[in-house]
Amino acid sequence: MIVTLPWALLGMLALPALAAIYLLRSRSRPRQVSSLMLWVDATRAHEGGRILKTLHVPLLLVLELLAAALLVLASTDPRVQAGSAGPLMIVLDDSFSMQAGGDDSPRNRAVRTLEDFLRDEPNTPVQFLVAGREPQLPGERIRGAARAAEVLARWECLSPMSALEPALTLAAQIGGPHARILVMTDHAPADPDVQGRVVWRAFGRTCPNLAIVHAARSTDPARDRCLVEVANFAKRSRQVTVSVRHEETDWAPAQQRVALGPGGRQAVFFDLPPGSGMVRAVLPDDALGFDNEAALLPQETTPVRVRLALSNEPLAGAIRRGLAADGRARITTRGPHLIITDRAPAETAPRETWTVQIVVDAEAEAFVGPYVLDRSHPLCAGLDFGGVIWAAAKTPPLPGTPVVSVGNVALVTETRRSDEGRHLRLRIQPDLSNLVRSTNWPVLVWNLLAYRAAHLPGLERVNVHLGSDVALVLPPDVPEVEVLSPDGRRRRVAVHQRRVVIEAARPGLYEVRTESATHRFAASALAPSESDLAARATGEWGQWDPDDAARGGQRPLAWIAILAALGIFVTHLALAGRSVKERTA
Amino acid sequence: MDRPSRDYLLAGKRAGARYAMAAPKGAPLGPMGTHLANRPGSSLEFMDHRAYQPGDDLRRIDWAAYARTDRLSIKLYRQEINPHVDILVDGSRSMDLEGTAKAKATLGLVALLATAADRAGFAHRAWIGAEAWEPVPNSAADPAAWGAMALDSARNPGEAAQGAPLQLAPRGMRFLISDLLWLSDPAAVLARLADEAARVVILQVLARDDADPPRSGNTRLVDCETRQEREVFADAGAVERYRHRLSLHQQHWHRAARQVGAVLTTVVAEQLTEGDWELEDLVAAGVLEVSNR
Repeated sequence: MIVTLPWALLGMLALPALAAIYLLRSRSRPRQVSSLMLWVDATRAHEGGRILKTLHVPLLLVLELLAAALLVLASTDPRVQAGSAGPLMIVLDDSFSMQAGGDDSPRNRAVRTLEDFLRDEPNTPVQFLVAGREPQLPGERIRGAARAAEVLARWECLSPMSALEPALTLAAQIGGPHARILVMTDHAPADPDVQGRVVWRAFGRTCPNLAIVHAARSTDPARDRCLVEVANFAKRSRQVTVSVRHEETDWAPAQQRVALGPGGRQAVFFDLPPGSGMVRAVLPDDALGFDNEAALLPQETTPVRVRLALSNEPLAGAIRRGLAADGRARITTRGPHLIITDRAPAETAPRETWTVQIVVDAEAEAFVGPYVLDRSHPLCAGLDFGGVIWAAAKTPPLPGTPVVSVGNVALVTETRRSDEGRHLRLRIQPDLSNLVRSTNWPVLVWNLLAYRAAHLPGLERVNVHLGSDVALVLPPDVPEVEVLSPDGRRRRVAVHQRRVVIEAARPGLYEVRTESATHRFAASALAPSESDLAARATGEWGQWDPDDAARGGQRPLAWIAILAALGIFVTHLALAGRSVKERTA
Repeated sequence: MDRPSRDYLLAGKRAGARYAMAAPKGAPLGPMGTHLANRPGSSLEFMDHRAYQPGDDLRRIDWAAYARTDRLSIKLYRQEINPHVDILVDGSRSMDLEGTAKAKATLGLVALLATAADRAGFAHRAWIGAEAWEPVPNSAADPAAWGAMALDSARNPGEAAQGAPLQLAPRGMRFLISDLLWLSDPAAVLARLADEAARVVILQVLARDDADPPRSGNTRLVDCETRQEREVFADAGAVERYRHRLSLHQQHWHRAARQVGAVLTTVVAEQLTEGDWELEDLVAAGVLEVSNR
């Protein structure tokens, strides 16, 4: 049995005091009387007396002493070791800054420290949490350094950020009140005064670092251009050569020398020959090699085939101008993805064809607002209808879900078809409106095309940041895809509603294969906050309460002692009550 | 006699100055004595005739009647008495109970009664019951001149009566001062005391703790006479039972007193000594009279 509050045993001093009070109180006081003849049937006191020789007299005292002893025992918070101690929750910083320094990286030093630490606590249940973009549990609770080494081997530190605070919250929740929490990271806590059950250990080192913090590639028939932004996370100026290399041939078609001041950034543009495949922007090796490279694939833009069927020529002209501003639109009459018309569309449109019906009201009322926009709808992104005059008839109301409305008048509505197609309606009297002449018009048309393009088969982006989710829209009837990761691993992912979402968990080239096509996207570690190694630190903050940790596997016994004391009190009351009755009988 | 006892006697004497002993009813006064008895005696008042019996005083033969009737007869004259007061004091240790005013009340009462008797012109004598009933030295005189009266006997009055025969004046007034807290047959005790007595008065002197014991909880009672001990829990119930028993005990004594025509009254020592020696019960019973002298 473990006594949690041993100083409470001082309460045992009350026992001899109680016994003394009991004996002194029950001690007979001598008194002379004229005669004993009238005290013949006087009953000897039951509570005590000069001589403790009858059974019930010491029994009451013994019961009281026992009850007092049990209460004192309960106040010490006695416990028994019913299982193992509280779990150790180890939060691992999974950001790629933990790789800085090569073999002596914060990650490796943290691994060595953990192995030593867990070797000393072979029976402690350990739960690892990996704090990347979001906290994750890499497995079940384990015991022993060997099992921990298996988990630590999978700790790769590839995330562009570390969600340490959410991980701490999760650790506290699943660890229970007696869990110890150990954070392994490379930077100091935001508040050095770490309280509670958390010990924060950092293994980072301040060192200069050059990093690619942004990379983009735009491809069109005219030219293929790359943008690479380089940052100098150092306290002194640096000169660096930024080069672009072909993925397959390692040929460097272009390179530039860049001079960067302390903390400076500079964007570098490269023009690539048409038809260049995947290239990598590369910096020389330094403290953190992870951010010295950015993979860039040529942009693949899926064209949106649009058919215009408008009798209102000014309106048709405005739409054409809007479509021309976005390179994705291909005006055609065959196999359109999108039909824009001012007539009622056919009842049965093809599955891949969305329709936009523009209702031109002969008699309309001009509205100046306020307009109500469904900001969650893709059509409303970036729209600002301040100063816009929108003329439309109030009746008959447009069917569908309002997207833009003024008062009770719906101006733009959407109806989802059963085949997942969309039927959009837009009500306007262009002669009385200035919408088509405002800056909102090309935005609205751009949103319309982007909305449609997002539902066309293909990747939404091909060059993504590490940790991003990449959505791939597939043709109908594709049940699953095969994903090939940069590390060569393959996995199959089920398709849900023609979409799969793949997390770019490690930098490099991803391939998503179906029976009929292969889609590729590239992920780059572009995270300035992780590349900045200027504020890394080594140290330890916080301290565990060893008693608190030990209590995790203990079961309290105080309630048993209290129950026993209550039982003794009841027995005492019954005995004492019976004694009183006997005396008064 | 020690100083406190003397002070008690003197206190009783002072208190007795307010009282005078009353003569028993039906006892006329005579020329020689202060009272005439109801029985033949040697006074000058003719009472009756009776037949001569051998041994009678020849001087009392009524010769004139012999001349007329030719039979010897004796003239009987009413006895002329001078009333005598015997005051019997329980000399057991319980009358000097530690921490109470019983001794003061007892000795004071003796002196009070003697003084009251003296003021009424009665002779008096005090007796102390110890191994036997013994007269208090010089107790016919003023209480201030009495000899020792030790209340330290281990024997109660009943046991003392078993000693030497008690020589009390016939047809006198007899007072017994005791706490009566002893086991014996009251009727037998009072019958002996009332033999040839003109009046018997029993004064039961109790300490306040005798009459109403304190609720002292666990108590080791010590009998002051026998030194016997008894552990008791003196709570309300025990005290109530004690008082009930005391009441029964007093009833026995009252019943016995009524049988012999005795007067029995109870005084609480502390009330008596602190209350200016008021003896209203005895005044009401005609034993004492409040003196105006």
